[in-house]
Amino acid sequence: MSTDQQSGERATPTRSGLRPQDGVLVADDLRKEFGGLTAVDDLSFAVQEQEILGFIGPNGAGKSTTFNCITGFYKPTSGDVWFKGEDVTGLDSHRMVQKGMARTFQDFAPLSDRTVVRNVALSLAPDKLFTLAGVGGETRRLAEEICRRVGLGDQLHQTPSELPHAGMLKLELAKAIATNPDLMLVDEPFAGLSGNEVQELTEVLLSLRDNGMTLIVVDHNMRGLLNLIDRAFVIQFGAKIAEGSPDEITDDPKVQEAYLGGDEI
Amino acid sequence: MSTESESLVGGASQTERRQAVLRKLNPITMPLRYQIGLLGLLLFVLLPTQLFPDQMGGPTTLVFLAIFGMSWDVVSGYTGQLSFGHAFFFAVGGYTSAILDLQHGITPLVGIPIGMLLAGIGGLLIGLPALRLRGPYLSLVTLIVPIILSKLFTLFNNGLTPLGIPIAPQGLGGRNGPGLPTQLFGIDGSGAVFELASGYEGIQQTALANYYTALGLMVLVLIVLLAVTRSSAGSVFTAIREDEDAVAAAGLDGAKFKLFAFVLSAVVGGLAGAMWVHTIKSPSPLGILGQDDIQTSIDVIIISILGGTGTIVGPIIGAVLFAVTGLVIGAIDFTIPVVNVAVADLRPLPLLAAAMAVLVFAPGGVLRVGIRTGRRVLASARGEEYEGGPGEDEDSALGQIIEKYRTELREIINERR
Repeated sequence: MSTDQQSGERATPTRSGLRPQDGVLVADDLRKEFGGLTAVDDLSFAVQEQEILGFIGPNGAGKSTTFNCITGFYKPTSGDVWFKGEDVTGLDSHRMVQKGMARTFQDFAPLSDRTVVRNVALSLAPDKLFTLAGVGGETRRLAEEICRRVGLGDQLHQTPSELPHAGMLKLELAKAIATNPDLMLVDEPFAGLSGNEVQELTEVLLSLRDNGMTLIVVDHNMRGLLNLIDRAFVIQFGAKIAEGSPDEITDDPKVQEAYLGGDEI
Repeated sequence: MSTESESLVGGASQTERRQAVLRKLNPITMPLRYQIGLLGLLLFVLLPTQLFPDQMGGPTTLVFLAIFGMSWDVVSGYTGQLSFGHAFFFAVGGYTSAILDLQHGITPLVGIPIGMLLAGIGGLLIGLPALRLRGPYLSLVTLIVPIILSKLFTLFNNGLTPLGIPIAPQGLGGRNGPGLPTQLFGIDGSGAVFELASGYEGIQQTALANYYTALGLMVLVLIVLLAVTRSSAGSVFTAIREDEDAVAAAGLDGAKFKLFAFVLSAVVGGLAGAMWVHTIKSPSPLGILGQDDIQTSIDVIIISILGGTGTIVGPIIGAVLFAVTGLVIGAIDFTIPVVNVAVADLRPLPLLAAAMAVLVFAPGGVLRVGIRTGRRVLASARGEEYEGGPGEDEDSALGQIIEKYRTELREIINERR
């Protein structure tokens, strides 16, 4: 495969100096162009195991595109993605999930034809054509348990359209958790939530980390993430402008400049 | 995570699964709708007791149509990949087995499985572009394929020996077909695979054997397709129908499941098509593909929509309605004044009108309406208010298929701008 050849040619340390072993997820000089537009501009970063990384940037900064390149929904124009030391650049999205990288969608994508619990059960379905899995009801019990953990215990048998906004976010989370990931990319989890709901969801995410999961949380401002993230990574126009602890980031002059004129970090 | 989740549910054992399957299959404890279904099957078994042998042709055709409908439903009804030319698979199965028998002397007992296999390869050939093509383009492909096949029958009228390989040395027979292949059942001395009694008794037995063979095939197909669609593969199929990104995000290879649905459907269609030509149908473009090489494909869709898309059982009910409507209209001895047309001559217009009515008023099909009505009646008998179960939207399956189709059309149009 072409990706193998690429990584073979790059035996010498790359421009970013990152190596596949530098973290559970390593992006190296990741680049994505659409026609003449560069959405992701040679972005490099590493995420450590059980870390919660905040991936922050103003609207249109290229956060979602980066996300899509990492999770296999887009093929990057150039650059490499290493997951658990393995080159996974350009793998199909379902293969990424099978390798242990789950994601949530910002514009929710629940299946409207089935109940909450059956939405979650789909993530538990084996990728096999002939299977007896689920006949004994164990898939259903596990799906119910995951729903309860994220706080959907009372809405198991509702359809997604009956859920409030916070419920949809929880369902997205439950679907991702059900794939049993080592790394989860969470897209705008707190958008439109009340203070209590943010608190509730923060606790769920922290408990996932305590159980061994690594998390990348995307948001356009950092305010809601302060109690959650260990480290922040700020991008603008597809390139990194700052990286560090939440306190360092808020004081960074480049970040303040990027957010000048309305948006608040 | 994984060790924790296993301890959470205590790990399901083999015995637990076996018990669950047995519980579901116990006719005493199964839900009423399944019991009614079993009763329906029993009626199919008893039907010949009410008919003369020479009346068995209709019911046998009906059973084959039901199988064809089920074969369409598993790919189009479940995954939403609309096929407008499903008779292609029936024809590949039927012609393969017939040519093998007529021109190579291979018994149908071997030819039918080969026909099934070839139809499966056909399913793969159409399923592969389906992975890349969006719905409207795929529909065009499926629409054209049986017409191309029919042209090939005419083109290789007198012989098909590419590179000297005698595939069909005496030709595919054009519009007339390659001739009548060996029958599975026939009277004594007829040369059939299974020769029955002689004389009128033999004719009687042949008609019954054809019917019960078709019925056995229907039950087999029903069991296989129900098992597949009620397993987790079925929920992946319907998820593909709704949102392919969601399938990928669940770690499932949507392409694999789509291809599987196509091949499964083609294999079932090919098997039924091959059995058809060795029992009651002479292989010819008109006989298998139908009028204008497309009528059978359309009938199959109508049957599935009438009964209920995305249900597998629906096409059986649809086929019964299809046949009964045809019978009733054919029996009406009434001439419409002014235009001076006999009602009986209007066939199949009233049936098409019935299909339109179902589309508009009960897009979920007769089966779903029946189940819902039954539940409402049962609930009111218990003195409860029936509010409808979750995910029981009447038009969910067909509505989703159409919605998917519209979205894809819109995408195509936007790209052209």
